[in-house]
Amino acid sequence: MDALILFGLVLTFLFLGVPIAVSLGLSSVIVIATLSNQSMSSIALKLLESSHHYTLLAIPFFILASNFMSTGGVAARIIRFSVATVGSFRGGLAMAGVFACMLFAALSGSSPATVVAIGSIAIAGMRANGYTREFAAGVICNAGTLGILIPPSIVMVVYAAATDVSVGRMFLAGIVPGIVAGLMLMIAIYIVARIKNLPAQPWQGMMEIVRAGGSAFWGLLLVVIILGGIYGGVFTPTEAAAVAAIYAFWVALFVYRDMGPLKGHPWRKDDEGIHAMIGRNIWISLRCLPMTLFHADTRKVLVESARTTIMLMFIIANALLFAFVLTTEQIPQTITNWMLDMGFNWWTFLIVVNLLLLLGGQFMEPSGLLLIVAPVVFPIALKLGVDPIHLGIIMVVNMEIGMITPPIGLNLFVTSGVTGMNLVQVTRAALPWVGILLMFLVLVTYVPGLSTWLPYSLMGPETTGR
Amino acid sequence: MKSFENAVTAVEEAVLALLLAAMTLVTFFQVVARYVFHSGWLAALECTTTLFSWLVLFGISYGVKMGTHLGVDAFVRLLPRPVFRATAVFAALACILYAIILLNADWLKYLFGLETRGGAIDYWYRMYMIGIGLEDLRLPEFMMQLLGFRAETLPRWVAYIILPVGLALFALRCVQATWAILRGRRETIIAAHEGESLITDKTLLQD
Amino acid sequence: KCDKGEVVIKFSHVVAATGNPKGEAAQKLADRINKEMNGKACMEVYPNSQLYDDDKVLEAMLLGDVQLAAPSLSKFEKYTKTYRVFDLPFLFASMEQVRKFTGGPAGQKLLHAMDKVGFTGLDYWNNGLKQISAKKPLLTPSDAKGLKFRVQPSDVAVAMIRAMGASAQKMAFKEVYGALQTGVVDGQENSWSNIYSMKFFEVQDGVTETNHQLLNYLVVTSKPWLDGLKPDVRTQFLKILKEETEAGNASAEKINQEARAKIIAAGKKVRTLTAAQRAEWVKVMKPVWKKFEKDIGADVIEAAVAAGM
Ligand code: NA
Ligand code: NA
Repeated sequence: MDALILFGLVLTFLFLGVPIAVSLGLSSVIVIATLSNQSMSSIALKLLESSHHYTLLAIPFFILASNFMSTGGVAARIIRFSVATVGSFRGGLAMAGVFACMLFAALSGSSPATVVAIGSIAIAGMRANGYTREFAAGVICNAGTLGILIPPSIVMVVYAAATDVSVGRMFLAGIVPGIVAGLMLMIAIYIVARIKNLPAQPWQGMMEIVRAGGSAFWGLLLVVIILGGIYGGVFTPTEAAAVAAIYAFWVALFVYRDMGPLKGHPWRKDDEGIHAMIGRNIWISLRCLPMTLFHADTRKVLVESARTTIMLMFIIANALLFAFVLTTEQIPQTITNWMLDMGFNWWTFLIVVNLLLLLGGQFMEPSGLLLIVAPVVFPIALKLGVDPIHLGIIMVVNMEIGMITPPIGLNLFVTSGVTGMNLVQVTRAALPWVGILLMFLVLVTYVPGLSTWLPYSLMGPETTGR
Repeated sequence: MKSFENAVTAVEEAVLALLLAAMTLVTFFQVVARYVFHSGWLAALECTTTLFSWLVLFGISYGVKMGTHLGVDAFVRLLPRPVFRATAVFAALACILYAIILLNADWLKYLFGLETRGGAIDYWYRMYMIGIGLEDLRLPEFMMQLLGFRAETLPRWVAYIILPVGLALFALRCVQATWAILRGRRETIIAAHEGESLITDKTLLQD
Repeated sequence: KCDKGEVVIKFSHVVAATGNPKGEAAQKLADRINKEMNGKACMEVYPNSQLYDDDKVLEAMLLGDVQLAAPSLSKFEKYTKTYRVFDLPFLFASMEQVRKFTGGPAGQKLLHAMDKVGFTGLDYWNNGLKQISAKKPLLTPSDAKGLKFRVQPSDVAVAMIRAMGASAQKMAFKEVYGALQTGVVDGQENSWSNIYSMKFFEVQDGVTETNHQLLNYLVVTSKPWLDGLKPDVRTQFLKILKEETEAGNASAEKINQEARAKIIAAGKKVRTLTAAQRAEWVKVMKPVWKKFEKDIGADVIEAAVAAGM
């Protein structure tokens, strides 16, 4: 009964246009005030506790890293490398768009950020080469969702925070499914390209792959730093995020120099000797070092990242409040007992989980939805023998689909922003490709090895729930 | 008035940028200290998480002002214009109610006889009365003495004050937003999804 | 869920409900209270930090929203410093000594060290003595030189690690396994049951049986809440708690010994110290006692030492 009131309140507030965070928070607060003997002081305490959660600390750092990367011209270099690699297939530019999204996903923890970074350049390029606007937008909008499946991933961080599984294992678990999803999209594009007779780019030779790869190298090195650092024992995942942010800052301002005080200073001037070049670069780097910290470009990235962090963390903190109310009212236990009594097994249970998440993903923001669903679903899953890491990947894939379905679909919003198409047009363009992701969801759900093989062979089984 | 509002925004943004930069640098140098020098600052963890809570709780009011809090507007936009405006006012009032109940819920007891008590102010006040410190975070000795803190570490009430203050600022910004919606100078309290301004609004671009 | 009219006792802790001495003791306590005090009182147990972490649970207790908790004694550092006695390295040589000290007048007096803040200690729940492990064999303090150890957040533990010439790192408990595995930290120190249940031994070069420090919990409640209970309810509640404490402490010792045996069975080396090696550890740690003597009170330390004679 309490559960119905709680969920009813949230939905009512949501549909009346109350911010997601406040819908969750206000419903929790009302239920606490009317149905429970908890004091409001301890609810306030809980709000504070979730806003200094150690695992969630990775979120602002990954956002910051991603913003330095997308502002700092890494995306353009990644796209050039992708076109050189797969562009010569039929439908090659679209495939290169998917490949570029996969690569950028390995630098960024977010899906919409991936769409913006790659989409703003790739969609224009595709249109100039004879693709329709709908086709281009649909492909990128979908491929961008890989941002949260291929590590690093903010949604995985949130899942780890909600269930206490290890962030490191979750990150590893996303790699194989991420590659599979990318390949599935590329194969679908190839088939469509054959039927519709879409153009191919001329093969530019191995040298262009090497050259383009070299120019994207400093950006792609971040992948090695994040994963290598976590598994090599240099830092924890949260610290990895902070190191990524500092590294991205360094690459954007000092290496690529697309922003900040060194902008416009070439690495090598015409007819400059090698010694003169090294000396000049060291000199300007040192001279500009203090300025980079306070430069308008740096401040802009910091403020934008802070804004996103606040928006996201406000939702997360209130979703945690909501989950706390669920716990104190013992709602997860009730649902667990009911489901076990109904005789669900892992197979049928995962169908229910998928339907629940797909439905929820229609009007909730991913992190918030995950935090509400996880406390209910996680204990049941463990009882039915579902692997906690596998469950996490299933949830992430559901969140991906939620991002490209209206009314709240963050990727739809940004694709509409990038292309100037309205929400209805974008939704229609994305729709055919959602089918691929749904097929992929079934694959991920019923082939657990896809998610668990890599993390368990490198790090051993997850300790939580053992 | 306009320039005053701009100055306030500039200060808010400077504070947010500073908090985020400080969090990142502290965490980064902790890694360097441990990995390179086999040492570290024991309070680093607590310092970062405290800065994090300040960033979030100080920032939520700024989020209202900039209209970055995410919500569902697909349904309300289908409604006739006057009804749509009414829901926008309702949503803004809901935000004010949320903040006020969390600040203090005692009035619910007196008005409606609900069994509830306390709130953020009460929580903060009790920490103030007990005066206990955080786990590790401390200021230099002379500053602790100058400020008259008796605990060994920074008192919790100093770190926690952002909770009532942040909620109060949030309520204040929501009152302003409600007024703006009533006057027709603002559409809704949530982030707008339609329109091409999105490409410049990086806030939605994450997650 | 509790019926109307019953006194609600919320017990919030941070460990698993099964397989951990504290988690199991909490559940047994709840079962008995719900059976024997049905109609008068009702206890809800929230394991796994479902409600609050160890730090916030004490704040929530002050606010009156949690009635029982059992944080480790080092968590009370900000409320009273006398409990540092339990953290002193190589003070307790056996659980027998711990029992004699906590059951004696000095130990019982310590239960009331935080009455002024609003907490009353009800009983001590034992986990066990702690052992140390690292990525290499540790037999003398100098073996640990230059290594990085994850420690429980307490000033005494940090001082102990530093006395070994090693560096102390703070880290959330659940991150320790991964950190040991990847080498973010080199070693850890904990009780047998924790080393076994968290699988730390898997990623370490054996465990050294140092018994260097005590891991104990204090069952704590809010003083105003306890004082406000009806006398008969309070008496029955305290009686059940006392009986369950004794049963729980006995089984904690068993769980720890079983964990030790399982670690050996898993093929890991458990090293014991010779008398000479132990003397070397004690010599290095004595300055740590001196450092905290003022916080604890010399008489309290003396009582603890006397309990071992
Ligand atoms: Na990613
Ligand atoms: Na959606």
